[in-house]
Amino acid sequence: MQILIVEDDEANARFMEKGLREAGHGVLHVANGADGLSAALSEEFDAIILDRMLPKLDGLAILKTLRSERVRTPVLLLSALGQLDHRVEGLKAGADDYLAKPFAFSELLLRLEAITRRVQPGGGEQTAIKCGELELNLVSRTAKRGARDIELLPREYSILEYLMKNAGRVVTRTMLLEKVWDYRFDPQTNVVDVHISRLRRKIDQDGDPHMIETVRGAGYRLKAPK
Amino acid sequence: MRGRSATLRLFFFHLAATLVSSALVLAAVYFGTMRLLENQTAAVVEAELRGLVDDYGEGGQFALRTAIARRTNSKTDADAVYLFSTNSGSPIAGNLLQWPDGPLDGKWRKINLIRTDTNTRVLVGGRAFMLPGGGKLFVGRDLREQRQFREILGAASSALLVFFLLSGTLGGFAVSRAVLRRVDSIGEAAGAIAAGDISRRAPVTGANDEFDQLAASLNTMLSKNEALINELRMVTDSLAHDLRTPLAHLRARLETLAASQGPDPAAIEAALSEVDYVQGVFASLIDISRAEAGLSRDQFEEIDLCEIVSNAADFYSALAEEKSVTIATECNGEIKVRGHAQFLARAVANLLDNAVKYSPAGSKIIANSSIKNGKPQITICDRGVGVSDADWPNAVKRFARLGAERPLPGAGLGLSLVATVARLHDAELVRTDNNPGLCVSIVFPEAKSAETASN
Repeated sequence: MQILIVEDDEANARFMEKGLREAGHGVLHVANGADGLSAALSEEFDAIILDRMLPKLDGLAILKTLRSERVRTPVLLLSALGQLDHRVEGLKAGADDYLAKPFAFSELLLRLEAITRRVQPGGGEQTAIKCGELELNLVSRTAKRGARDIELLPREYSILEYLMKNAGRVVTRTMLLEKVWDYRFDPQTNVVDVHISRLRRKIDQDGDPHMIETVRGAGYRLKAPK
Repeated sequence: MRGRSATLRLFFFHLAATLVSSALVLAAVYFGTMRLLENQTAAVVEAELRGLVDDYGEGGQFALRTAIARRTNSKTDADAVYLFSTNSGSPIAGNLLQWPDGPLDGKWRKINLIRTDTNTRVLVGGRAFMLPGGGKLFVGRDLREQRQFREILGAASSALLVFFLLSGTLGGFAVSRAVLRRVDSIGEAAGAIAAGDISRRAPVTGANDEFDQLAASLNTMLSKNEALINELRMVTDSLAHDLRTPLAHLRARLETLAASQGPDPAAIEAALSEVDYVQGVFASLIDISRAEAGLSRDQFEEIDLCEIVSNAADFYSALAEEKSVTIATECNGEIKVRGHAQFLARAVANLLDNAVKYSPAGSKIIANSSIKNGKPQITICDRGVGVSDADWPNAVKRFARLGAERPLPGAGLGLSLVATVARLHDAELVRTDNNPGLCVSIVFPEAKSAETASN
């Protein structure tokens, strides 16, 4: 992917650029708002990482201009401001996702992948997802492993659905909090882990191979079939 | 002394204005009275002159001389003066030494003349008249009574002005001293506060006057400021204290890593989790500050309390189950209020987090959302150790710690954030005893529900 980073904090920009290059992406970094806007308008990118507070032109202003110019490139907005407050503003201005500084690089990468995937054309309405032995019926909201029905509570179903839609990719605790409970804050507990272990107990039974693996320091991943 | 001159200057300006206007009034009274008196005298003289001329007309020179003699000898009017003289001015009758100088035009005149009966030189006001059969007649009044009256009036006016001046000056000093004493006492308190004694207050005398009101409103402001300063101090101290430990751990881990050969994933992860903790504390503090400053009101939207409570109950049920605690959600349909969805969700999550932490195994937590007396509310009740009435105000402060040791991580900001979120929504945070245990309610104002109840 070609990614534009508009960020005036040199250290943070280098940190993101290095990580993205290591992950195999092309990166253009500009350090102020005016350059950011002209780059975004003149070149094609797969995603833009946009800092909210920038010299010369504010991140939100850039975003609004881009959207009014019908530039649909997915934008991930970065902010050092509070967790709860600025998200809505950013999303209203046309951002695809929002990340509060400081963040873990893995979180940034996962979110970038998620927002770029979103715009890829989908093949109509899905009614079921399959992942190895696991099968999810999106209409009746039921789950099966092989022939066995899995009794799931509504939230457990939501967690599993999200994991399955992202099968093979890491899903962070923060992403689960946002998708399943709509919590934009960190409750400072291990509740997500407890929910995952309950879900595991229901999915994996009697010596079945474990399907949900823990990725240390990042989150969880549903094993994709070989 | 610079301050003193301001009040005194003002007072003297006022005094001068009073004196000038008093002098003007007194002068008007004086001149008006004098003119009135003189007009009266002139009228009397006029009448007398006419009477004497009539006498002369009826009885000639003799009758006139008799009339003048009778009148000058009479004691009833000691101020009357007369002179009947020949055309050349030689006196024939009367009590004046000689015919006055000056034109004989019949107009009212004031002249200094010598009286023969008292042998004094006096100021006389009077009129002259040419008699038709030869000779001339002057009738007048000695003006000494008027002069005496004028002197009395003048003296009284001067005395009055002097009295005004003296009482004004003394009063001015006294009043400005009293005013300045009050101003100085407030200034002194301000100085002491500026010097660092933030518990100092402006004195209130109990007179309930403007100064007391000023001092009282100043004191209210000072108390609020002191509370804020103290809170800030406490936050800074607690922050320093709370972050020192994870930062020390972090440093130790990084030092170990620096000294070790290859990277140790477990040590790096431990270091990262220390960073996460520090980050979490900061994020919470920023959120609390923003909510406190009321910056989040523009993001209010219509939200359902029932959904927020059910969602949080669902989220924490997994944690509760591990402790064999159950969470019962009580909610009958939607309860709409205008609010900040994320802040309210976080507040309810914090309440449930506390409830789960302090609940004994086998107990039940109740998560209720309802409308009581028209007021939408959220109530979370547990069967834990509870918080006493005395401890409650402390518990909702930032970094509050009940007991010497913080038993669980992340505590200290939880209830403080709940209190702040309640304030942001103009809601009340109410503690009730659950015997045993604690019930905490966020009670929203009635008006908000009335507005949305129809929806």
